[in-house]
Amino acid sequence: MLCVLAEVLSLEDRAILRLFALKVQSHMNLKTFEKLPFAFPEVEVPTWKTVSARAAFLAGTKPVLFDCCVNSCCCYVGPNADLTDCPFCRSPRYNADQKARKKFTYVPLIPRLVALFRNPDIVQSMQYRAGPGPNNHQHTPGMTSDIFDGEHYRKLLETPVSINGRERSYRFFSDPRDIALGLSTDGFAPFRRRKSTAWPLLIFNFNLPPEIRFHIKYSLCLGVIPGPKKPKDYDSFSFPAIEELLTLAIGVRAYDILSRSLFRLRAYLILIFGDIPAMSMVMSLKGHNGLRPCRMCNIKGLRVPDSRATTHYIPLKSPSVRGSTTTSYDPANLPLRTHEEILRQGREVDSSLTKAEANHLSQKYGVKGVSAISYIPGIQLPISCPYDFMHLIWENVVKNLILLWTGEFKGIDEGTGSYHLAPAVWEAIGMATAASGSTIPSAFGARPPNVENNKMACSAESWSFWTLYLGPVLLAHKFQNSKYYKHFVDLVKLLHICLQFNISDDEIETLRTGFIAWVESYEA
Amino acid sequence: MRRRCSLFTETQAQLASPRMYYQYSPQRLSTCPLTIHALLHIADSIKANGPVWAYWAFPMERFCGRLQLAITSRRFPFSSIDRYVINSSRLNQCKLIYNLAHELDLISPHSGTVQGELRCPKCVQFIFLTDISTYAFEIPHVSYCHHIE
Repeated sequence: MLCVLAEVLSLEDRAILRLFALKVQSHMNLKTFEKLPFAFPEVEVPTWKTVSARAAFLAGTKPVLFDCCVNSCCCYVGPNADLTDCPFCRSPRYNADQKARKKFTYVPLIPRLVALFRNPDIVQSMQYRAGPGPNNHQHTPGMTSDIFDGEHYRKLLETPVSINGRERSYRFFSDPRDIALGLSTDGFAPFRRRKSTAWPLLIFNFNLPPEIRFHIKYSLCLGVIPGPKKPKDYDSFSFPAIEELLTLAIGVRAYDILSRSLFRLRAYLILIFGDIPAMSMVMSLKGHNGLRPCRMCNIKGLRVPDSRATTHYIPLKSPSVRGSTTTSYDPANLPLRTHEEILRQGREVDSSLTKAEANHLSQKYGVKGVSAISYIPGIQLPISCPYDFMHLIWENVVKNLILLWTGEFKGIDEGTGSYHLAPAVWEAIGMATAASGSTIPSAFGARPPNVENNKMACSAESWSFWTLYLGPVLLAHKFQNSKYYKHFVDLVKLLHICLQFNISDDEIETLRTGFIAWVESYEA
Repeated sequence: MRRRCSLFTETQAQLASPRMYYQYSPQRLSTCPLTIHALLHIADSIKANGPVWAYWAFPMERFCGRLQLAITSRRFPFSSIDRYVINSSRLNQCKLIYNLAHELDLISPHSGTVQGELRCPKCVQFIFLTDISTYAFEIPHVSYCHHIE
């Protein structure tokens, strides 16, 4: 490794890498690439085969291919390594030529983290987590401005690392170079009109300052679980990642270019995030429609009476039906889940003797088994898997409020409320939103689309802008009863606090009481 | 008779103050999905893991958008994606190891000035743009920053 470091790249190699960069960055297809020698006859353009082979050699990283089920139920790795049929769909692993029918490509994480320390600029900016100086993160008690002010991280700082029950002699993040990692996953549809989904596993390096942390070039993709279907055994696909993360918690050898010395590089995964279905999959939970839909607490869901839909809903107070007692939850004191409880329930489900018993238990607990991520030191279920604000607010709460106002929410009427907006009013709001784009500086974001008739153009970002800045103005005096407007503005005020760069402990308490009051009056 | 009476009083009360969305009605349970309940956990999440931007899905969606561009085959979309993931990881690796980030970005380094720019020595993080010729109405001399006279 050290000999590569001393090596200065030859001009030919740099030319080859520039060609490689051109094709990869611009998503150039092979046909176009093959035209390059004809477009530039005076220079010698190597073939793609030469270029990619040389780039692969120079990069030194090798992807690992694992066989996986043809329907992407599971990956044949770890405990599944020797199976010849999928345990879920029974489809064979190999074709007639004894070749795997489908493969999952995994790009190892460790060499990429080690390589970060070979670049002085990156090493410098990665000091953001614990380095000295005003440009790096400084923890001020009572203030939250980054993940490193969170209680979870602060607690880890004082906790010795323990791997598989064995306590190590060092604490989390005791070396300023230790890397804090976050894992994100999400189902995305490669084709608009087809249902097939792929599930990328993306690692974020939280040591980088927030301005560049989420740039695509600094995010590390471990691989994409191929579709067409949602994986049934997600843990088998994350198995190689979990193996690497455990190795990283013990430490790997790396060379630090700033101090010019070898050191033991450690990295800890402390955060996992994604939308609700993705997180249910990662945490081996039943999902958001089950009897215990919430991953943070044990609130019990209720079904709509006399309906065949199996979706469970979770109001704080059960509906008032004459002759039945109502149950209610105290929003300030919800029955929170704990790491130990989720593990115990998972083990109970895993060790049940019959399938029926396992189903019964998993329904009762909302937990389908022990998830592989719970073995990673630094992960504390469920708090290491927080709700994703983007999907929660911009894609659900706000959209649902608008559906309620326009009378399109799941076919229910106003009941005893009076929150409907006349179609002409909503149409006018849509037009005013679209027109506002002409007078809003582009620094605020993309031009807001017409929220009334151009639903396709409405992204989470446009909903965010609409809710935070346009909604409170456009909705004023539009409701028959002003309390619906006031209720909406109360939400917007809370959302503004959530999006502040610095949030004080007092403001967090404002959020807590504010959201409780908001949800309680939503239900009233 | 009695029952009718109680019904009447109830409507009277409701008229006085209309209900909000769920109204504790069994038929309206669907107004209380998980996403409304999840709001109650936001404060705890911020306390435990910091601000919401540290773990929201915007960067992931952006990455998915990038993967979308990599699909060049309708028949083997997942192979296209895998190839892109491998190649871009190799490219990044080369940038890091050989310190070629600028050279391999294939763009000219920023010249540092913007046409019509106005800089204030006290606000180094901002570049003020003075080119307002595209506006139909006339703006008198505007000082964008109170430091600039």
